[in-house]
Amino acid sequence: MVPARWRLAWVLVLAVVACEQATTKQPVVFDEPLPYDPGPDVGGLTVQKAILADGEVTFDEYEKAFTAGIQCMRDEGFDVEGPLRYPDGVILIEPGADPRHRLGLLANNITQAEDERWNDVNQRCQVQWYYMVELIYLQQFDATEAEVQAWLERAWACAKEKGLELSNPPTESEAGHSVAFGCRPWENSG
Amino acid sequence: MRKLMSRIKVSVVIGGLVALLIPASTPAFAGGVSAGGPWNYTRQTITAQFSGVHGSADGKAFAQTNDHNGGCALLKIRLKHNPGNIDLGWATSMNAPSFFIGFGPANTTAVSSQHRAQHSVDETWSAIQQPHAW
Repeated sequence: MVPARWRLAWVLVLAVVACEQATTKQPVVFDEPLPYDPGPDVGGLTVQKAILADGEVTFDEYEKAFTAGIQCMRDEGFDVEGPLRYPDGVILIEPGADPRHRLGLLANNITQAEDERWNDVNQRCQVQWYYMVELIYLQQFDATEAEVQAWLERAWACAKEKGLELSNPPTESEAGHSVAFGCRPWENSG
Repeated sequence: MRKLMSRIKVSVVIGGLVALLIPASTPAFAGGVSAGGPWNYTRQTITAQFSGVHGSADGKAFAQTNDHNGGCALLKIRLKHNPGNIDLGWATSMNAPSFFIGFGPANTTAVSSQHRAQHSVDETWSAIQQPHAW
């Protein structure tokens, strides 16, 4: 368990770093409904807003916010590994996306008895510490329609090479599943 | 008559062996799938439809949320896999995709999954849905 004064110090360090990096760019205004009620602000929301205030999110800021979120989950007694980067941990796939930009976590030994509490803690810590920052960071890498199409076609071509049976016409979902069989459609984009 | 029956039996046996061998030679995309939905999420008379599955693909546990009618914005998944009762926590897509998949490491089996979708009209989030009891 991390003492409260250390957490407060961590919040202050993150806030100062975010403020120091402020430039003349317009702040990012995050006005979407959050997926979970974050509850009282324990510092994370303030840090996230400070990070967004300079109009951009760097990988370093994303990683620091994510790490703070994991610490929040550990403070609740869960055994959480992370931040994990591709190819470790979960690989998250959507058409056109490159999973190497993402961070992930693994929570060990979530028993049935702890499942509901973990679900609450995971969502609350995420929303408090890194949900907004992660979304804004990742959306820098949004693929164009042409890039998505090229991604799908690389996945289908790879699936055929590996002998996977495709529907006619092949589905986007099949392109996603080809990743499990070793296809890497986000590579080779040049 | 006995000869004819014997030929039929041989044919059935050979046919059965061929039927067993053909699927084995073509890797299947996903196995052990547990699917749920489509679930409706209506806001301002517009219904977003999404569904969820979990299973295994080439020895890796996976969970997948699908947008069925283009009515969703972001998609969310949560996957729990064995061995070790490991939970990957909630992950959110970065765009408004047709599907969002999370793959666990090699030699893992999906235990359960949960799924959510964000409505494209007002960006609110659906309730958590799951293919079967968690």
